[in-house]
Amino acid sequence: MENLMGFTSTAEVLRYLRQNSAAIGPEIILTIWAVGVLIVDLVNPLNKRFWLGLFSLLGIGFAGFNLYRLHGIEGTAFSQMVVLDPFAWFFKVIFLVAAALVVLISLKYLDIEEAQHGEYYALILFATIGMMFLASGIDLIMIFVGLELMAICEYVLTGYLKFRPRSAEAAMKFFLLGAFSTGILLYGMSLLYGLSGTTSLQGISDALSGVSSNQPALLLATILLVAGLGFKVAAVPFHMWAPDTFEGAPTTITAFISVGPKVAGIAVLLRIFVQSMETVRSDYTVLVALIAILTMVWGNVAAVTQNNVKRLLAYSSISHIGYVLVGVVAGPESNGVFAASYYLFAYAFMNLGTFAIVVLMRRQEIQGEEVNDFNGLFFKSPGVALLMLIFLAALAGIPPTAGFVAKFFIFSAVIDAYFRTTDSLMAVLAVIAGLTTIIALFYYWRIVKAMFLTEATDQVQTRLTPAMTAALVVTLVFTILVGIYPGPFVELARAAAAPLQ
Amino acid sequence: MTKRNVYKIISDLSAIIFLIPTNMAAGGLLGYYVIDPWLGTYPWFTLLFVLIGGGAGLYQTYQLVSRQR
Repeated sequence: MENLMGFTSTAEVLRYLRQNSAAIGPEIILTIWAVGVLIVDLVNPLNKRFWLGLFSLLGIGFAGFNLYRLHGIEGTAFSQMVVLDPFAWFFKVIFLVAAALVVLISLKYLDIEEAQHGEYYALILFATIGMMFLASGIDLIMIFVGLELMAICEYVLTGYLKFRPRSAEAAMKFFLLGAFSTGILLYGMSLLYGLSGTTSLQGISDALSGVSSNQPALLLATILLVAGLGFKVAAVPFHMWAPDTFEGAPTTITAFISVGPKVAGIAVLLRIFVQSMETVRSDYTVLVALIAILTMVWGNVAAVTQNNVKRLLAYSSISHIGYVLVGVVAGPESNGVFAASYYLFAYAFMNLGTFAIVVLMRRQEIQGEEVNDFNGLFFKSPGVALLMLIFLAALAGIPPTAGFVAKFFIFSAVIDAYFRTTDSLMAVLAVIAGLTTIIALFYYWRIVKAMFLTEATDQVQTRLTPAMTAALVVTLVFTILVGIYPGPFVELARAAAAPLQ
Repeated sequence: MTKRNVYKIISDLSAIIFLIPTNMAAGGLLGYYVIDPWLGTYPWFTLLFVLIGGGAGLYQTYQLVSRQR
């Protein structure tokens, strides 16, 4: 604020902007590109909206290149509002990759749904910008703005197929519950501001260092923040929006919201709690541990009875967040932050791959969303069935896929935390995480059984487009590579976790 | 849709704003004034019950929206 008030001329303001804007280069590029997509859609020189998707991809590519050039540079910008550190960098990579993959799988899908519009791509880009600000925000105001930018775009995208009652209903539920959870989160933030007198995370950390953790206002702020963020990452008991929203939203958007907001939510959770609320460590650890247990158990148990693949994957993604929260509970001393970051990286690829196959199943008049729609897929399209098998194996955590290594790091973090603290809660977490992984095998197996051991109920082939093939190849390569050659990714995730140690 | 139905929907939906705060407050009060003093476990049950209250409030909101198809 001192900087802003200290300006005496326009030239000074411009110099300030020029010095600081480098830190948010990828976000600026994406913003320009998102507005550009809307303008290109309006002018529409090629009269073929398919190109809008490719145009968006180009923007994501430029933003990615800019992000690549920022690798290794650290610092804060805009009066300590945003930070450029390996943690933010790592998560921004996940967001850009997720956005690019979602655009790739959307090209054909939107043609089938007859809904190719520029707004769709622009909203994905805007949501991605929100997520990127969430990863780099170190001020409560910045975090809140990023969160809303992401959430509002997602509400609109969920109701994108507005003439379908299911889509509109999903958007309505998502919006209402999201709005309330934002209120809860904001209340928590305002309490935190009231206690510390600042919105900066570093300032909050300094101000709270001498405060007793038993102070009711601090406890209430902790609960409200955990509840608000719990909603964003769809953790039990704040998960009820997820299955309905996942089912009603366009499948491509389901893929997007199964990765983007969850990864962003966990990034914020780690930033706020690990970085600035060390005082209430024991309180939030117990809270998050309770939520993690509920999330793993309920996510996996509820998935067993689902017949709709999108609902099944919704519960599956809820359970995955449970495992990530186990990493958060284990804490930075036991490499919990690293394990959670690594898990999210692997999760993004394997989950987007699975959803890409579900999008591929949408053909002609077949929605491809029921488990029965996968019947006999191996006999019709063996390649697609094998790909789905690999992605499901990764989600279940079977070696040598990314999911196995990710789960291994989570388990080793929590077991290490148990030996370090001899807190029986950690042992309980490890046991429940292990047991629920077995339940997960069952419902993933149901899809595998439908694909390989059941006769086909229809003869409609799946059609691979070049864009879809590209998306599948990228997700497949990373799902396997992260599993069999984790070295470089471990280094990236370790570097990402370092600022929070 | 008759006018009466519209009023009913409006009155039903207007309850939304109270659901989450009242549930959380109820949970918090129960934990803070009843269970924690009784068992001497402050702040665990306060935390737990506020959390459950929040979840219950969201669930009621979800049900209310689901009914308005």
